[in-house]
Amino acid sequence: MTQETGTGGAGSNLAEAAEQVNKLLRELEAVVNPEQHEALTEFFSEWSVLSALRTTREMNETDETSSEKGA
Amino acid sequence: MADQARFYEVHGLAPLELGNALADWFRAQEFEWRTFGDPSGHYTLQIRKASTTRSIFGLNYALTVSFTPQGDGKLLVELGGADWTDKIVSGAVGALLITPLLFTAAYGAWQQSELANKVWEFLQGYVYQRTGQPANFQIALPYYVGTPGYQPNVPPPAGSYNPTTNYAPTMSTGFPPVGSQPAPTTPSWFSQTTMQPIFDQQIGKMMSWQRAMEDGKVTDEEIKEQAAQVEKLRQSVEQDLDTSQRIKFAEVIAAMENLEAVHKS
Repeated sequence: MTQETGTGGAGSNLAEAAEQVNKLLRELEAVVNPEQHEALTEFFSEWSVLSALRTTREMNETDETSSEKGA
Repeated sequence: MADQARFYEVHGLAPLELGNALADWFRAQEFEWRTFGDPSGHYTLQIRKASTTRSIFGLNYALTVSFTPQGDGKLLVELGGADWTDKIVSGAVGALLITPLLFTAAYGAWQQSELANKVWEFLQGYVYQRTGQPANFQIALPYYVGTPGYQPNVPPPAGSYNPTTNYAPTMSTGFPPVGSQPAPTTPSWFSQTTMQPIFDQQIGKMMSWQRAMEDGKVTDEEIKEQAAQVEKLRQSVEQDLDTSQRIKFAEVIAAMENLEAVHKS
Protein backbone atom coordinates (compact mmCIF):
# COMPACT_ATOMS: atom_id res chain seq x y z
CA MET A 1 0.00 0.00 0.00
CA THR A 2 1.34 3.40 -0.89
CA GLN A 3 0.97 6.47 1.25
CA GLU A 4 0.87 9.94 -0.28
CA THR A 5 2.54 12.75 1.59
CA GLY A 6 2.46 16.53 1.43
CA THR A 7 -0.41 18.84 0.57
CA GLY A 8 -0.50 17.67 -3.02
CA GLY A 9 -1.25 14.10 -1.95
CA ALA A 10 -3.92 15.14 0.53
CA GLY A 11 -5.50 17.47 -2.01
CA SER A 12 -5.44 14.73 -4.58
CA ASN A 13 -7.28 12.36 -2.23
CA LEU A 14 -9.89 15.00 -1.51
CA ALA A 15 -10.38 15.77 -5.16
CA GLU A 16 -10.73 12.10 -5.99
CA ALA A 17 -13.24 11.55 -3.20
CA ALA A 18 -15.26 14.56 -4.32
CA GLU A 19 -15.15 13.46 -7.92
CA GLN A 20 -16.37 10.00 -6.96
CA VAL A 21 -19.36 11.54 -5.13
CA ASN A 22 -20.18 13.65 -8.19
CA LYS A 23 -19.90 10.68 -10.55
CA LEU A 24 -22.19 8.48 -8.46
CA LEU A 25 -24.66 11.32 -7.90
CA ARG A 26 -24.93 11.85 -11.65
CA GLU A 27 -25.49 8.14 -12.19
CA LEU A 28 -28.21 8.04 -9.56
CA GLU A 29 -29.87 11.20 -10.86
CA ALA A 30 -30.07 9.60 -14.31
CA VAL A 31 -32.09 6.60 -13.13
CA VAL A 32 -34.72 8.06 -10.79
CA ASN A 33 -38.18 9.38 -11.63
CA PRO A 34 -39.31 12.92 -10.64
CA GLU A 35 -40.93 11.81 -7.37
CA GLN A 36 -37.85 9.89 -6.32
CA HIS A 37 -35.71 12.83 -7.44
CA GLU A 38 -37.63 15.17 -5.17
CA ALA A 39 -37.36 12.85 -2.17
CA LEU A 40 -33.65 12.33 -2.78
CA THR A 41 -33.13 16.06 -3.13
CA GLU A 42 -34.56 16.55 0.34
CA PHE A 43 -32.39 13.76 1.69
CA PHE A 44 -29.16 15.12 0.22
CA SER A 45 -30.02 18.66 1.30
CA GLU A 46 -30.56 17.54 4.89
CA TRP A 47 -27.41 15.44 4.69
CA SER A 48 -25.48 18.54 3.66
CA VAL A 49 -26.91 20.42 6.62
CA LEU A 50 -25.79 17.62 8.92
CA SER A 51 -22.33 17.69 7.42
CA ALA A 52 -22.18 21.47 7.72
CA LEU A 53 -23.31 21.37 11.35
CA ARG A 54 -20.56 18.88 12.18
CA THR A 55 -17.95 21.02 10.44
CA THR A 56 -19.17 24.19 12.13
CA ARG A 57 -19.14 22.45 15.51
CA GLU A 58 -15.53 21.43 14.96
CA MET A 59 -14.59 24.94 13.88
CA ASN A 60 -16.31 26.44 16.93
CA GLU A 61 -14.40 24.06 19.16
CA THR A 62 -11.14 24.98 17.45
CA ASP A 63 -11.92 28.69 17.88
CA GLU A 64 -12.73 28.18 21.55
CA THR A 65 -9.52 26.24 22.12
CA SER A 66 -7.49 28.96 20.40
CA SER A 67 -9.17 31.64 22.51
CA GLU A 68 -8.42 29.76 25.69
CA LYS A 69 -4.77 29.38 24.72
CA GLY A 70 -4.56 33.05 23.85
CA ALA A 71 -6.09 34.15 27.14
CA MET B 1 -32.19 33.90 13.05
CA ALA B 2 -31.47 34.94 9.52
CA ASP B 3 -34.84 34.86 7.80
CA GLN B 4 -34.76 34.65 4.03
CA ALA B 5 -37.52 37.16 3.34
CA ARG B 6 -39.70 39.68 5.14
CA PHE B 7 -42.63 41.93 4.35
CA TYR B 8 -41.66 45.33 5.78
CA GLU B 9 -43.71 48.38 6.60
CA VAL B 10 -41.42 51.08 5.19
CA HIS B 11 -43.84 54.02 5.50
CA GLY B 12 -43.47 55.21 1.93
CA LEU B 13 -39.71 54.86 1.53
CA ALA B 14 -38.75 53.78 -1.98
CA PRO B 15 -36.76 50.60 -2.68
CA LEU B 16 -34.19 52.76 -4.48
CA GLU B 17 -33.54 54.84 -1.35
CA LEU B 18 -33.32 51.81 0.91
CA GLY B 19 -31.07 49.98 -1.53
CA ASN B 20 -28.74 52.93 -1.94
CA ALA B 21 -28.58 53.53 1.80
CA LEU B 22 -27.76 49.88 2.36
CA ALA B 23 -25.11 50.01 -0.37
CA ASP B 24 -23.53 53.09 1.24
CA TRP B 25 -23.50 51.39 4.59
CA PHE B 26 -21.74 48.33 3.25
CA ARG B 27 -19.37 50.44 1.18
CA ALA B 28 -18.28 52.18 4.40
CA GLN B 29 -17.35 48.73 5.69
CA GLU B 30 -15.27 48.03 2.59
CA PHE B 31 -17.72 45.72 0.89
CA GLU B 32 -18.02 45.70 -2.87
CA TRP B 33 -21.51 46.29 -4.16
CA ARG B 34 -23.58 46.68 -7.31
CA THR B 35 -27.22 47.48 -7.88
CA PHE B 36 -29.85 46.84 -10.47
CA GLY B 37 -33.38 48.21 -10.84
CA ASP B 38 -36.27 48.02 -13.26
CA PRO B 39 -39.26 50.26 -14.05
CA SER B 40 -41.64 48.17 -11.93
CA GLY B 41 -39.79 49.28 -8.81
CA HIS B 42 -38.01 45.98 -8.26
CA TYR B 43 -34.53 46.73 -7.01
CA THR B 44 -31.61 44.42 -6.36
CA LEU B 45 -28.39 44.98 -4.47
CA GLN B 46 -25.46 42.60 -4.38
CA ILE B 47 -22.72 42.90 -1.83
CA ARG B 48 -19.60 40.93 -1.15
CA LYS B 49 -16.37 41.02 0.75
CA ALA B 50 -13.86 39.20 -1.31
CA SER B 51 -10.20 38.49 -1.67
CA THR B 52 -8.37 36.08 -3.88
CA THR B 53 -7.73 33.69 -1.01
CA ARG B 54 -11.30 33.89 0.23
CA SER B 55 -12.57 33.35 -3.27
CA ILE B 56 -10.54 30.20 -3.72
CA PHE B 57 -11.70 28.77 -0.41
CA GLY B 58 -15.33 29.75 -0.86
CA LEU B 59 -15.29 32.15 2.08
CA ASN B 60 -16.47 35.27 0.30
CA TYR B 61 -19.25 37.05 2.11
CA ALA B 62 -21.72 37.45 -0.71
CA LEU B 63 -25.37 38.33 -0.49
CA THR B 64 -28.15 39.45 -2.77
CA VAL B 65 -30.83 41.73 -1.34
CA SER B 66 -33.93 42.10 -3.48
CA PHE B 67 -36.63 44.72 -2.86
CA THR B 68 -40.10 44.26 -4.40
CA PRO B 69 -42.93 46.74 -3.68
CA GLN B 70 -46.20 45.08 -2.69
CA GLY B 71 -49.73 46.18 -3.49
CA ASP B 72 -50.52 46.91 0.16
CA GLY B 73 -47.65 49.40 0.49
CA LYS B 74 -45.32 46.96 2.19
CA LEU B 75 -41.96 46.03 0.77
CA LEU B 76 -40.87 42.44 0.22
CA VAL B 77 -37.18 42.12 1.06
CA GLU B 78 -35.53 38.85 0.00
CA LEU B 79 -32.05 37.68 0.88
CA GLY B 80 -30.19 35.12 -1.14
CA GLY B 81 -26.77 33.92 -2.10
CA ALA B 82 -24.89 36.00 -4.62
CA ASP B 83 -23.68 34.13 -7.66
CA TRP B 84 -20.94 36.64 -8.22
CA THR B 85 -19.02 36.28 -11.43
CA ASP B 86 -15.91 35.26 -9.48
CA LYS B 87 -17.72 32.22 -8.16
CA ILE B 88 -18.21 31.01 -11.68
CA VAL B 89 -14.53 31.54 -12.28
CA SER B 90 -13.56 29.65 -9.13
CA GLY B 91 -15.75 26.76 -10.24
CA ALA B 92 -13.60 26.45 -13.30
CA VAL B 93 -10.30 26.44 -11.42
CA GLY B 94 -10.11 22.68 -11.21
CA ALA B 95 -10.87 19.65 -9.13
CA LEU B 96 -8.12 20.30 -6.61
CA LEU B 97 -9.65 23.58 -5.55
CA ILE B 98 -13.23 22.40 -5.62
CA THR B 99 -12.86 20.14 -2.64
CA PRO B 100 -11.74 22.89 -0.25
CA LEU B 101 -14.83 24.78 -1.41
CA LEU B 102 -16.94 21.96 -0.05
CA PHE B 103 -14.94 21.85 3.15
CA THR B 104 -15.41 25.53 3.93
CA ALA B 105 -18.97 25.83 2.73
CA ALA B 106 -20.41 25.38 6.19
CA TYR B 107 -18.29 28.12 7.72
CA GLY B 108 -19.06 30.39 4.78
CA ALA B 109 -22.77 29.71 5.21
CA TRP B 110 -22.55 30.70 8.85
CA GLN B 111 -20.80 33.96 7.94
CA GLN B 112 -23.47 34.61 5.34
CA SER B 113 -26.12 34.12 7.99
CA GLU B 114 -24.41 36.81 10.09
CA LEU B 115 -24.39 39.10 7.07
CA ALA B 116 -28.14 38.63 6.65
CA ASN B 117 -28.72 39.64 10.25
CA LYS B 118 -26.78 42.86 9.62
CA VAL B 119 -29.05 43.69 6.70
CA TRP B 120 -32.19 43.28 8.79
CA GLU B 121 -30.76 45.41 11.60
CA PHE B 122 -29.74 48.15 9.19
CA LEU B 123 -33.11 48.31 7.44
CA GLN B 124 -35.03 48.55 10.69
CA GLY B 125 -32.73 51.25 12.01
CA TYR B 126 -32.80 53.23 8.78
CA VAL B 127 -36.58 53.17 8.38
CA TYR B 128 -37.03 54.31 11.98
CA GLN B 129 -34.46 57.12 11.57
CA ARG B 130 -36.04 58.38 8.35
CA THR B 131 -39.70 58.11 9.26
CA GLY B 132 -39.82 58.07 13.04
CA GLN B 133 -41.93 54.95 12.80
CA PRO B 134 -40.90 51.36 13.49
CA ALA B 135 -40.26 49.08 10.53
CA ASN B 136 -42.69 46.38 11.54
CA PHE B 137 -42.27 43.21 9.56
CA GLN B 138 -43.75 39.82 8.91
CA ILE B 139 -41.61 36.85 7.93
CA ALA B 140 -42.41 35.93 4.33
CA LEU B 141 -42.71 32.25 3.54
CA PRO B 142 -41.45 31.04 0.17
CA TYR B 143 -44.07 29.55 -2.15
CA TYR B 144 -42.64 27.43 -4.94
CA VAL B 145 -42.58 23.97 -6.48
CA GLY B 146 -42.11 21.58 -3.58
CA THR B 147 -43.96 23.71 -1.02
CA PRO B 148 -46.85 21.68 0.49
CA GLY B 149 -50.07 22.79 -1.18
CA TYR B 150 -48.26 24.49 -4.06
CA GLN B 151 -50.27 24.91 -7.24
CA PRO B 152 -48.77 26.34 -10.40
CA ASN B 153 -50.25 29.57 -11.73
CA VAL B 154 -51.92 30.29 -8.39
CA PRO B 155 -50.84 33.47 -6.55
CA PRO B 156 -49.04 32.81 -3.26
CA PRO B 157 -51.30 32.85 -0.19
CA ALA B 158 -51.14 35.71 2.34
CA GLY B 159 -47.76 35.92 4.01
CA SER B 160 -46.08 34.00 1.19
CA TYR B 161 -44.14 35.05 -1.88
CA ASN B 162 -42.70 33.64 -5.10
CA PRO B 163 -38.95 33.67 -4.53
CA THR B 164 -36.76 35.51 -6.96
CA THR B 165 -34.80 32.37 -7.66
CA ASN B 166 -32.26 33.35 -10.25
CA TYR B 167 -29.62 35.76 -9.04
CA ALA B 168 -27.03 34.64 -11.55
CA PRO B 169 -25.51 37.59 -13.39
CA THR B 170 -26.23 37.73 -17.09
CA MET B 171 -23.22 37.36 -19.31
CA SER B 172 -23.92 40.60 -21.15
CA THR B 173 -24.24 42.97 -18.18
CA GLY B 174 -22.76 41.14 -15.24
CA PHE B 175 -25.91 42.01 -13.32
CA PRO B 176 -28.83 39.84 -12.24
CA PRO B 177 -31.78 39.37 -14.59
CA VAL B 178 -34.99 41.28 -14.02
CA GLY B 179 -37.92 39.87 -12.07
CA SER B 180 -38.86 36.44 -10.91
CA GLN B 181 -38.27 33.34 -12.92
CA PRO B 182 -40.28 30.17 -12.44
CA ALA B 183 -38.41 27.31 -10.82
CA PRO B 184 -37.89 24.29 -13.04
CA THR B 185 -40.04 21.32 -12.09
CA THR B 186 -37.07 19.06 -11.41
CA PRO B 187 -33.98 21.18 -10.86
CA SER B 188 -30.78 19.26 -11.36
CA TRP B 189 -28.57 18.30 -8.46
CA PHE B 190 -25.73 20.06 -10.25
CA SER B 191 -25.17 23.77 -10.76
CA GLN B 192 -25.10 24.74 -14.40
CA THR B 193 -22.35 27.26 -13.71
CA THR B 194 -19.97 25.36 -11.43
CA MET B 195 -21.00 21.82 -12.45
CA GLN B 196 -20.84 20.96 -8.75
CA PRO B 197 -23.63 19.60 -6.52
CA ILE B 198 -26.03 22.31 -5.42
CA PHE B 199 -26.69 20.99 -1.93
CA ASP B 200 -23.80 22.76 -0.17
CA GLN B 201 -24.71 26.04 -1.83
CA GLN B 202 -28.25 25.86 -0.47
CA ILE B 203 -27.45 25.08 3.14
CA GLY B 204 -28.05 28.67 4.24
CA LYS B 205 -31.64 28.47 2.97
CA MET B 206 -32.51 25.27 4.81
CA MET B 207 -34.83 25.66 7.78
CA SER B 208 -32.97 22.96 9.71
CA TRP B 209 -29.73 24.94 9.30
CA GLN B 210 -31.31 28.25 10.24
CA ARG B 211 -32.89 26.73 13.35
CA ALA B 212 -29.63 25.20 14.49
CA MET B 213 -27.65 28.39 13.81
CA GLU B 214 -30.16 30.68 15.52
CA ASP B 215 -27.77 31.26 18.44
CA GLY B 216 -24.63 31.04 16.31
CA LYS B 217 -23.53 27.79 17.96
CA VAL B 218 -23.99 24.15 17.15
CA THR B 219 -24.67 21.75 20.01
CA ASP B 220 -24.31 17.97 20.16
CA GLU B 221 -28.07 17.77 20.62
CA GLU B 222 -28.70 19.69 17.40
CA ILE B 223 -26.34 17.39 15.50
CA LYS B 224 -28.09 14.37 16.99
CA GLU B 225 -31.52 15.69 15.95
CA GLN B 226 -30.33 16.39 12.43
CA ALA B 227 -28.76 12.93 12.18
CA ALA B 228 -32.09 11.41 13.22
CA GLN B 229 -33.88 13.46 10.59
CA VAL B 230 -31.42 12.31 7.90
CA GLU B 231 -31.84 8.68 8.94
CA LYS B 232 -35.64 9.01 8.81
CA LEU B 233 -35.43 10.46 5.31
CA ARG B 234 -33.01 7.75 4.20
CA GLN B 235 -35.44 5.01 5.26
CA SER B 236 -38.32 6.80 3.57
CA VAL B 237 -36.37 7.29 0.33
CA GLU B 238 -35.23 3.67 0.20
CA GLN B 239 -38.79 2.39 0.35
CA ASP B 240 -39.51 3.95 -3.03
CA LEU B 241 -36.38 2.72 -4.80
CA ASP B 242 -36.04 -0.52 -6.70
CA THR B 243 -33.12 -2.84 -6.06
CA SER B 244 -30.70 -1.37 -8.59
CA GLN B 245 -31.53 2.20 -7.51
CA ARG B 246 -31.06 1.20 -3.87
CA ILE B 247 -27.62 -0.17 -4.64
CA LYS B 248 -26.67 3.05 -6.42
CA PHE B 249 -28.04 5.11 -3.53
CA ALA B 250 -25.95 3.10 -1.07
CA GLU B 251 -22.87 3.74 -3.21
CA VAL B 252 -23.51 7.48 -3.13
CA ILE B 253 -23.87 7.45 0.65
CA ALA B 254 -20.68 5.45 1.03
CA ALA B 255 -18.84 7.89 -1.24
CA MET B 256 -20.14 10.88 0.74
CA GLU B 257 -19.08 9.26 4.02
CA ASN B 258 -15.67 8.64 2.52
CA LEU B 259 -15.43 12.28 1.43
CA GLU B 260 -16.21 13.42 4.97
CA ALA B 261 -13.62 11.02 6.35
CA VAL B 262 -10.96 12.31 3.94
CA HIS B 263 -11.77 15.88 4.98
CA LYS B 264 -11.16 15.04 8.60
CA SER B 265 -7.98 13.04 8.02
